[in-house]
Amino acid sequence: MYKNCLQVLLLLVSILVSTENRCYAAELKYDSCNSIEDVIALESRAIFDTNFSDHDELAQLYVSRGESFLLTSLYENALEDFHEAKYHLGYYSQENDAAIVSFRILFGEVVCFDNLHLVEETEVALKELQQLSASVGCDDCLDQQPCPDTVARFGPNIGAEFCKGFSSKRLQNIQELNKLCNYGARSDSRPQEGSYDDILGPEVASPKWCEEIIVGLGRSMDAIACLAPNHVVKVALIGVIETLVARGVKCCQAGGFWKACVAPIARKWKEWKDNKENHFPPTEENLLKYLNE
Amino acid sequence: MKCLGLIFLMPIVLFSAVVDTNIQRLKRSPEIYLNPQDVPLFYTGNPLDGLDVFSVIPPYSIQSSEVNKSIEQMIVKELGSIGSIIKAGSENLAGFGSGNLMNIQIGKVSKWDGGELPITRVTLSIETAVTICKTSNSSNPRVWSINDFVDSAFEVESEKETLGAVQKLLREFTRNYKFANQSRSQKPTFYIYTQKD
Repeated sequence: MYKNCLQVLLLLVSILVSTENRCYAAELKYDSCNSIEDVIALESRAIFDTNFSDHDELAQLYVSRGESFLLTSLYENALEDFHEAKYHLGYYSQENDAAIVSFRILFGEVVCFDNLHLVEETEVALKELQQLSASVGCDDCLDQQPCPDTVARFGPNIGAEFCKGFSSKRLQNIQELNKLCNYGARSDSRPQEGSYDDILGPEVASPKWCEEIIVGLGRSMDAIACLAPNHVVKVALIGVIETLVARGVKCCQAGGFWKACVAPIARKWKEWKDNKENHFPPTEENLLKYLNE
Repeated sequence: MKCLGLIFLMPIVLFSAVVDTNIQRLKRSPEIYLNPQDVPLFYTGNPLDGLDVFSVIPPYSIQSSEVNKSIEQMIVKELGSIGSIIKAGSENLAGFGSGNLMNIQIGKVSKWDGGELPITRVTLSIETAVTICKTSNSSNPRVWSINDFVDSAFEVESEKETLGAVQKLLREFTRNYKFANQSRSQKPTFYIYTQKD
C-alpha cells in the first residue's frame, strides 16, 4: 500500500511540480543540483538567507521545499513547510500569485495527509482545494485558450512564468480544475453553438435540468472512480469529479448556457468511459490518462 | 360522550383501512420480494412511484465484453417489459436530465477487518434528487436498492456467474416498479448508456 502510494504520489506531484516550474517560485538556480537532496539543501540555504519579513519570498521557498520533501516521502517535514508557507501567505503582497501558492500548498497537503493515512485531514484539505479552485477563475474562461490568455489572467509577470513553468500538457491539467466558467456572467464570453456538437439536447433548458445532468454524470464517474484499487488514485479522481460537479452546478444555477456548463464534465465522463472500455482501468499506471486527456 | 368515543375511534378505523389496503395489495402481488434487509417496506410514499425516466448505468467493473453484452441484453429485455428503451450514446445526455439513476454495481465484498470475502455483491440501486424536509438540504441519495450475492470471488473468470443475479435483481425491480405504479398508465423510459463490445 505504502509503495503504491509513493508511486502515485510521485505521479501526482510530477503533474504539478517539476524542477523547471519550481525555479520561477524562488528564482533559485537549480542547475548545480544533482539530486533531490541537493535541491533541499539549496532551498534550505535560501530560506536561511531570506529576511523573515520577506513574506512573498518565504512563502514561495517554503512551498518549494515542502514539495521537495514530498518527493523524498518526508511527509511530516513537508507538512511543516506547508504550514510555514501558509503563515507567510497571510502577509503576501501579490494577490494574483497567492492563488497559485495556495493551490500548491493545499495540493501538497492532500498528498501528505493521504500518505500518512490521516483521513479527516485529507478530506479537509481536499475540500479547501476544491473551494479554492471553485473561487478562482469564474470571471473568465481558460477553456481551450492558449497561453497568452493565461498571461492576461494572471498578470503579465506571473502569467508568463506560469506558462513557462508548465508544459502545455501540465498547464492543461491545472486548467482542468479551473476551466468551467460562468458563461452567464458575461454574455460576450458565451461559446458559439457549433462548439458543442458533441452535446445533444434542447437549445434551452432549465437550470434544474442542467443541474440534474451534472450530478448524474458525476455519479456515473464515481462508479468508474470506485474501480480504482488504490486509495490515493481514488482520492485524486473523486477530487476531479467533485470540482467538475461543483463548478458545473454553479454554472447552471447562474443561468449559464447549459451545454457550456455541462461540456467539461460530459467530456471528462466520455474520456473516462472510453479509457475503461479500452481496457485502461483507473490504476496508478493509467492515472495520467484520466487526468490529462 | 358518544361523540368523544367516535373521535377516539376514527384514527383507529382509518389506520385499519390503510393497513388493510396495503395488505390486500401485497396479497394480490405475492411475488413482490420485500426483504427488509434490502428493500424497505413502503406502506406509503414508495420512492418508485411516479419516476418515469431513468438513466441506466451499467456495471463498469465487468471486463469481459461477452458478459457486458449479455448484461445489456438482459437490461433491454427486463426493463423493456415495463417501459421503453433508448440506447443512448455518450453525447445524448437527456437521460441524465431526468435526475433518476439506475446504478447496477458488481464488486467484491470487504470484511470488517479489511480483508475480502470470497463472494461477489450485485446491487441495483435507484438514486434521485430529493430535498430533505427537516433541513431543506438538496441531496441525491439512494432511495431504493436491492442486493444479491454470488458465492464466488469477483474475478474476470467468474464474471459470468453474476449474470443470474443481475437478471434476478432486474426482475425484482420491474415487479416493485409495477407494484408502486399500479394506478399509472404512463410507461417509464430507460436511457441505457451502453458500453462498447
